[in-house]
Amino acid sequence: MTTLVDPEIDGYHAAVRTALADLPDAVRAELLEDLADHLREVRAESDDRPLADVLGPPGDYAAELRTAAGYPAGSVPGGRVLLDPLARFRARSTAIDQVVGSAFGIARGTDALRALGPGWWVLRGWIVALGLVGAHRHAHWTGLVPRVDGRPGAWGWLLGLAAVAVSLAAGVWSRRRSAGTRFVIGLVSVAIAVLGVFVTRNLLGSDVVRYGGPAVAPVAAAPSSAAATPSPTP
Amino acid sequence: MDPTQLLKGVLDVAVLAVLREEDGYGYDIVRRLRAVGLEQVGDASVYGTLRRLFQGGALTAYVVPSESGPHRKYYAINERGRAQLAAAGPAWAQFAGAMDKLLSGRTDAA
Repeated sequence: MTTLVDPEIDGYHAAVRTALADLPDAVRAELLEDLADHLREVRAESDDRPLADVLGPPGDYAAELRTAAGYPAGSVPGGRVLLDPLARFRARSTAIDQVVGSAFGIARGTDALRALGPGWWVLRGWIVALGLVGAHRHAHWTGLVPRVDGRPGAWGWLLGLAAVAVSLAAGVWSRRRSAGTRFVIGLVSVAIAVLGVFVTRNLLGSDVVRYGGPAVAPVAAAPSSAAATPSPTP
Repeated sequence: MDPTQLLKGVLDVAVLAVLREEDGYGYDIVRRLRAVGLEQVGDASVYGTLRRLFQGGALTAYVVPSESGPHRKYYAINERGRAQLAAAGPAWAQFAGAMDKLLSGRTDAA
């Protein structure tokens, strides 16, 4: 092996590497793979002409290399040249998402939330049923089963199951919709969650369903509980 | 006109055509392109094009150990590359014929 250390080759190589610094490590390594050999061959052929004369400045060489390889400047998300704040925010959110996910042994944290989706759809439907009855009767909710005509029974169950079915259908439907539609459905869901806080407060306040102390604490600490105070509860 | 601009669009085809003759490593392909008359071809463009064709599945690669120098990565054209080249042939012939006609003033309108 006749690999001699040549400061000019090292300098040129380092400058090209720096110009590719925004690329992912694997891509950069692939692009630089045989650069040293290439530079040695050019050097051997070109008498004493400086490399920058034969090949052009290292920055131009790097730009030509990445463009021909299909990685033009600014093309790689998460790269240093990424200046768009929204894109930067997305890249950072994705990174955090992946870190959270890796703690649970999955690719992304939001995958877990997505997997919980159907459960939330069922709960959402049931809350709506309880809320509908409450809004209609302006009275206490006194159980986990919606009351029709003041008593729990077959009609209450039917109402609850119908609401769950509608909610599930909406959930399945929304998965195939655009981001905008999903955003609107998300807002509606948040409103339903707030309704859920009211429902829970009424359940806890009633004599029929009484939970132990610890279960009350998280609800009382919820931010919405202050707004929930002037609820129909006397 | 600057020939380097003209080369950009057809470098894929030129590299595939060179490799159809014989496998080669990066700088060897640069030399062979220059030997047939494409003197302005940029070293970095050829190396980048090789990476992209390889990533795109048109080339395979293997390393050849060498006693006198560094181990070299050789590229070879595969079936997909041959198909790509075959598809580019007629398109290039038509384009080149049309440009010839235009530049020599032998168009029907003239």
